[in-house]
Amino acid sequence: MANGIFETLMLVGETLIYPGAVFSFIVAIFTQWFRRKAYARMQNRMGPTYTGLAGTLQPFADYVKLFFKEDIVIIRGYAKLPAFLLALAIGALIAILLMLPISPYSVYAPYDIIVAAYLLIWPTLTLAALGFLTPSPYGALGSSRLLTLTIAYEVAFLISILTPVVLANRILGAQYSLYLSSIYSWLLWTNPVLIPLIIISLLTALISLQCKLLEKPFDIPEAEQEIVAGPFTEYSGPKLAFIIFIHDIEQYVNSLIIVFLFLGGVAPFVEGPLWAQILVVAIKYIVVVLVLTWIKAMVARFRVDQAIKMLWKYIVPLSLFALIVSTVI
Amino acid sequence: MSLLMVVLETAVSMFIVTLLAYGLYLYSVKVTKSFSRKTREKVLIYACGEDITEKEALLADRHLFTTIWNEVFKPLYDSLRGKVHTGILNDWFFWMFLALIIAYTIIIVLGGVSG
Amino acid sequence: MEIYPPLPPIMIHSLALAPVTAIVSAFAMPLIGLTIKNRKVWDAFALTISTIVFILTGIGYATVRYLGKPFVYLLGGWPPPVGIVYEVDEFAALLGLVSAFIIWLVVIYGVKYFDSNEDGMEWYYTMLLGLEAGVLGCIYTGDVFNVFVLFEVLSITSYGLVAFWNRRGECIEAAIKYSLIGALATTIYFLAVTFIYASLGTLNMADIAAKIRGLFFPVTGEPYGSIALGVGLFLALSIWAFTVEAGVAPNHFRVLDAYQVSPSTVAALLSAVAANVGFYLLARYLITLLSGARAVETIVNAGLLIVLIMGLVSIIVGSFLMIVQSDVNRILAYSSVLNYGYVCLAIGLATPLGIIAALFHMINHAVAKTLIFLTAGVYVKASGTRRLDGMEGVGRYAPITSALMVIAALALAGVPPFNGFVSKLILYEALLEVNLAPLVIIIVLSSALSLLGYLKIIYHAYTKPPMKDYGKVEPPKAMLWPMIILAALCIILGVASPWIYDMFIEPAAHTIFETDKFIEVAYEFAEKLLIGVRI
Repeated sequence: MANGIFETLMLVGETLIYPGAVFSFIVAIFTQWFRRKAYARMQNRMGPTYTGLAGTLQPFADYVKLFFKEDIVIIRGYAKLPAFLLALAIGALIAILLMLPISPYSVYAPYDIIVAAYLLIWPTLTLAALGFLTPSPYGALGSSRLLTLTIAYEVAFLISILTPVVLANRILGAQYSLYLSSIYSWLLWTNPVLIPLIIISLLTALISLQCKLLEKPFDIPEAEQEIVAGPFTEYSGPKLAFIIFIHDIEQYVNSLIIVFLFLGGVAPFVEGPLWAQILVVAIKYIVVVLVLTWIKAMVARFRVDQAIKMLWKYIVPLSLFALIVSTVI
Repeated sequence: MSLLMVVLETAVSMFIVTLLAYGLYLYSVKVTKSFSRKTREKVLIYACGEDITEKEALLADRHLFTTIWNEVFKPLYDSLRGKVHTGILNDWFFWMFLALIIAYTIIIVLGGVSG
Repeated sequence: MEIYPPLPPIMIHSLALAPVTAIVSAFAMPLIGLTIKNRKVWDAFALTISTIVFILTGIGYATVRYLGKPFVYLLGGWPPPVGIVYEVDEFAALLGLVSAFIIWLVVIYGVKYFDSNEDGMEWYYTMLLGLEAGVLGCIYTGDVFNVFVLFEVLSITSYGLVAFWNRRGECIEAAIKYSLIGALATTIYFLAVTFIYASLGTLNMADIAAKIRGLFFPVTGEPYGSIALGVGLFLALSIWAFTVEAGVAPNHFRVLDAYQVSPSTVAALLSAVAANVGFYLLARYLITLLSGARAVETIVNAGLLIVLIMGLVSIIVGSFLMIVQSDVNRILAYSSVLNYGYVCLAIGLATPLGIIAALFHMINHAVAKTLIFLTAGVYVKASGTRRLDGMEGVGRYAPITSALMVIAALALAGVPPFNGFVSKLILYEALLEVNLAPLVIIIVLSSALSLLGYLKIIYHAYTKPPMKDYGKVEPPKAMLWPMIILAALCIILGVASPWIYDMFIEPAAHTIFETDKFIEVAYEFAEKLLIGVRI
């Protein structure tokens, strides 16, 4: 009984502090700052410099500013429902963190990769629902674009992350669990036959993640020259702060999944000291974010049909190929 | 730990964070209410400065989802129609047979069904 | 030696009484309609009968749970291979209970759904009670030919129900399509029965299962000729017939029109209750009767493979065609095809986990699909059109109904707190267990697509600002309560799923694999006959 109470407290503590809400907020601020700074440097700009050391607190200032602005609800719009949906999406993203090895007491069971997949799709659907909850035509158009893309890139992302999970199950007996696969995934790099598969799925995962984050070549749903801000057109104040926070934390969680499933997590220091493991994960995380930023700075936006064609013609078949080979091998 | 327990635990943690975030939202609304000013223009549908009525802002069903799909998959469908819809029964049988063989091959290659 | 411990008479007879009550009152209904020209009396009669049948199925389920083995009811006192028997295990009893429950709620809803000056309500109730008898009979029976008879009862009543609004051309057209293809299916099933009778010399399910395994069963003698050929033809033809009945992909054309044009209550019944009969019989024949028998192993595996592929095709067809429709009921019809695909896929796996997923999804789909058809019925009735473009914002005038519709849509799309999620989760687990990971992707994709389809309904009917005043849309309490109960079930089946899984679903799904018990109980009855013959 005491054990049960302790576990419950542990769960609540993890949810609220580490690796849950508070820690995620800090990482989200850091990620946004890093991404803005790197993006600016790639375009020969300065990026945030004013607030805090080298502008590190600029995202925090933005959040505070948005948070204390008025929440404007347009006629025939909804006030509370979008806020609740956004809160749910944040909850879903933070729940995934509990299933990863970064949390001290991980939640895992055989086949829990499916739960993770559902939680990963949840924020996208929330963002799409936001557009449908306003009478604005831009909102509905943006949401319909987003959902059309979703069918392509969520599938590609899911197939991509399933590949190492399936491999880890078949070769290392990880039982389709996100946690166990994350722990064992570095062993996959020791087998030269599997390396091409991992590289292919890593590539497709990165590209579909770029689409999931609605960043440059795929920022079609919020294409500002065409449909203002897409699903987010009519949202302001705290809701906009939530939307930006979801974007940051989505980047954080998904990049972390890529780090653990594809890049081997704590790899060179599997036995090693804790500080080295933390450092390795942090470095790998920064590399993933940097690659995503680099793609964003390098390319221009696709048209919606081009994007879908690209995803369905190259990314999905490529990732599917890797998955099928990994099931058969 | 069973899978359904994982679902339950993640749901609990999702619920806690949801409550927290929603509480923050309610707090923000409460704070900002004191200094917000109501104007008519603020609550109109944003249309890049144009005046549009609610009726004009409505989207018809055909403008959602399927237009993009149709646009993207039209070339594929056209080329398929040229090859499959020849009107000759033997062609149709051939394609159906091919589909069946592909389906069988996939299932058999993937290890089949354990009885 | 007694086969069962002593039971009170109501427990013994409840399972047989349920279909008999339904069919007798179905035949009594026109007579009542002739003598008493009062709609309220008819409503009350149908309501009473469906309540009684629901209670009887509940008692029947309790009986089977209490006994812990299949319950055999001898009709007319004749033991198994000679007479027609009902052989009910937990799987069948649970499914019967769920079907009777859904029908009960639909009857309550229908009282206020149909206008007070609607023509031919006595025929509606006749058909509805007949449908109930057909469904329960098909599920409970332990005789292959009796399945045919009750299959015909089920089919003919459903043709009548589809053609209920017989002043509308589209209803007649749909009914003609539905009945022609349905008649073909029942005839095909009749042919299948002739094959099994010719080669095994028996029509009793337990006897068939025993004969195929080479076990001795009294009275009916040895099989004739090659078992494999007869059983193969039987299996092929009956798979075809049952997939037509259920509406699985290559055979789904008739259900689309039928669900689209018929009254919402009828669409809900056909989609949620009648289709389950097809899946139940597929699982019963493929797994309990034929699986594990050495003589027909290849044929059964091929049959399972065909069911699995049909399920896959159904999923793909249903999900992709669902999002391009612009008619509420047609979207829901394609969503039915999609969900039938999940069930077929799960049955085709033929693993314990697969059958659990199939049973759970059958129940969840029945609950959620009934709910969404009933809520859509409210919208269609208020806006006077089934087209999405004609019902802008009608949901805003009926907030409770809209909330229920959202719950149903999320449940069907498989969103976490609701029931559809749990059964899909088990299905994923079952697929990963036999190492079919790529199929998981197809299911996730189809779930995302189906969510799009439901979102279309919600967007047009609820979040769009209304363009005209619809007046009073919120239905009266008699229509609202059945929907609220179903929505509550959607949530309970989802949230309490670990317990419901352990207490009801898993033991029930397990019985479908217990061929030994299935044969043994029937054999114990048949043995009495043998002793009598020897004396």
